[in-house]
Formats: sequence, structure tokens, C-alpha cells
Amino acid sequence: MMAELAVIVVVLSAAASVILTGLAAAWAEKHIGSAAIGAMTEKEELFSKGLVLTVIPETIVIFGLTVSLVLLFVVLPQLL
Amino acid sequence: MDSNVASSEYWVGETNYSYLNTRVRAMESKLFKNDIYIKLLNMEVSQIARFLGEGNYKEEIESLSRTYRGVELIEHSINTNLGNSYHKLLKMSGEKAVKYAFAILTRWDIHNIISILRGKYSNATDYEIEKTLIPIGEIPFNFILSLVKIYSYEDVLRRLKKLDKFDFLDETKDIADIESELFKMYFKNTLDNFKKEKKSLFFKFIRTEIDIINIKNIMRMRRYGFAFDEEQKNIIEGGLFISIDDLSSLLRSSGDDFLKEMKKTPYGPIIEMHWQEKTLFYLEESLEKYLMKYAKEQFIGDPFTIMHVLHYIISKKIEVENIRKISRGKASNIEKKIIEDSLVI
Repeated sequence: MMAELAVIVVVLSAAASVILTGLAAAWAEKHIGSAAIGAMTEKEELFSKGLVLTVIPETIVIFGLTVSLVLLFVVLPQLL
Repeated sequence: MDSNVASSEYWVGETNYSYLNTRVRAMESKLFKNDIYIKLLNMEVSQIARFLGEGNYKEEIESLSRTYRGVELIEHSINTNLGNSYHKLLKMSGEKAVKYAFAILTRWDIHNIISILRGKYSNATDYEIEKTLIPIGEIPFNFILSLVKIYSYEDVLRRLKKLDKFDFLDETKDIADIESELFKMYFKNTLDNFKKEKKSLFFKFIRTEIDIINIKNIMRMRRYGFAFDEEQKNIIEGGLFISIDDLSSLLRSSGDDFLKEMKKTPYGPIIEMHWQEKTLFYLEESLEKYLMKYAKEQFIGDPFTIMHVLHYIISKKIEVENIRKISRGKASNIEKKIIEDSLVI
């Protein structure tokens, strides 16, 4: 029973780490993207900087994905 | 005509602070730095016009250079640019800008109306009046221009009375009374709009402005004499540091008592510095400078507020006023040091 519960927790955690980091990245990109467009409207030369800044929050999803993969392929096999 | 015709076009959408404040910061980075003013002080009027035409004022200088020359070209260009910048700003500010827009735009309406009334009162030509107008305001500028074409001072007031917010005007009153009524109306309405946000920086700024107008009026009345009804007319309610009762006693106090009382306020050092001067010109200018610097220093804060927009509005106004002072000063051959001292830098 405990082992089954642990599996469920691990699977849900793996899902949550991707979902939550995805939402956080979306929220951050919304603001950074808006700000970048605002700055670019006035100074076109800020395009490359704006683009780089806009994709930075993507790293949060990569962290989430890594955690998820560790949970699914390292932690979960040990429980099964 | 309804007085709110122009207002609805500005704040249609929701305010997106990330977009707005970054864009405003980018706009602000294009404003002149202090060293540019020093550079302008060493130029002739034609060179100043050329310099402006190569930078942020390019569009306005190019479109107006066929009609105007020299100082007039600079004046019209900076006025038009100020109007364009404010309109652009308010359009992108969204719904959160409503209250501020009212305060900012109505202020320019009053400036334009007073300029027209003064012009008509002193029989200035339409061209001379038009030169003093700034194309900003809640009232459409075409309507303001149509007022210039009206023949007499009384007819201008009769036309204005048809607008809801100016229905209190009386064409039988003289210009000084009308001016003070317009200012009182403006400050009363603005303070009413912000009465729920008494701690806001903008509310404090408006109240500081009231203090400064009151001090100017008190100094003039102390120096040139006054009647009781003049006191009633010239004093505006709602100052930050000086209440109506304080003002009344300050008006009648001796020079030493006046200075002593004023030293309790932030305006004390400015008044003391100019106390012995024969003219009030430099005192009034220093008070204006204080107000502008105060606003520029205060309107900085949380990036998710409208403060950056207000900061830009004040900074842009300072820039335009500085250019105006330099170009007018240069055209009138005023000493460089005097022009430099009058700049807000």
C-alpha cells in the first residue's frame, strides 16, 4: 500500500514540476516579453537584448523537466 | 460641444505596466542629459534649431521649418513635440491613467485658455496668441484654436461657458478674477479626484503646487498691497504645508515673523535666499524649480505603478522649459550665467 502511494506521489511530483515551472515561465515571459516590446518600440537596437531576455525564463522549465526526468527514470524504478 | 469629447480616446485598454514602464524608461533615456544643456548654451539660436532637428525633435522641426524661423521655429517645435509626447504617453497608459490624465490635460487646457484670454484682453493679434498655445489638453486643440479666432474677450468666455466644466465663468469679470477662478476650479476638482488616495505622491505633488502658487500670491500681495476681496480670490485651499488660516496670518505678519514661519516649511531656504531682492522674478523661478525637482525626485517607485509615467511627464516638461529658456535667452542676448541659473538641471 505504502509503495503504491509513493509511486503516485512521485508521478504527481514529476507532473507538477513540469506544469508549475511551465506556468512560472509563461508568467515571467509575459512580463519580460511586454517589457522587451515596450523597449524595442522606442529603441529598435534593443531587439537582440530583448530576445535573449525573453527566453531566459525557459531555463526554469528545463529545471522542471530535469527534476521530472530524475523522478521518472531514477527515483520511480527504485520503487517498482 | 461636450467637454469630454477628447478624453475617451486615451484610456481604452487595460494598463500593462511591464510594457508601459519599460517603454517610458526607453523614452526617458532619450531625454537631454545635463551636459547637453551646457552644449546648447554655447550655441547660437540657428545652431540650436539645427541640433534639435538632428535629434528627438526632427519630425517637428522638419514639418514646421517651412512656416517658422529661429526662436519661433524652436518654440513651436518643442510645444508640438511636448503635445505629441503627452498624447502618445496617455494613449499607451490605459485605464490606470484616467485620473492622472484629467489632472495633466486639464492643466494644459487652463494654460491655453488663460493665454487666449490674456491675449484678447490686451488686444494681441491672433498670431501672437497662437504662438503661446501648447497643443495638449482634454479639450480638442481645434476648439482651442477656434477660440483664438473669436473677436473679443467676452465672446471667448461666452463660448467657453457652453462647456460643462466652464459654466461658472462670467464674462463681466476681469481677467485676474477669471484666472483665479480657473485655477481654483482645477485644484478643487483634482483634489476631489484623489481624495481617496491622500497618501499618494501625486496628491502631495498637487498640494505642493498649491503651496507654491499661494506663496507667490502672498509675496506679491505683501509687496504691492491688497484688499480683503483680493485675498479671498488669490488664495487656493488645500496646500500641503500651509493652510488657508496660516496664509491669512502670514499675509499680515511682519517680515521677520513671515520668514520665521516660512522656515518651518521646505520653502523657507528659497524665500530666505531671495528675501532682499527687489524683484520677485528670481524667487518665483526658484520656487518653480523646487516644484519640478521635487516631482522628479518623488515620482520614482514600484515598476507596477503609474509613477514612471508621471516622472517622464515632469522630465519632458523640464526639458522643454529648459530649451525654451536657452533659446529665448540666446535670442534676447541674455548673459549665459543668468540662463544657466534659470535651468532645472
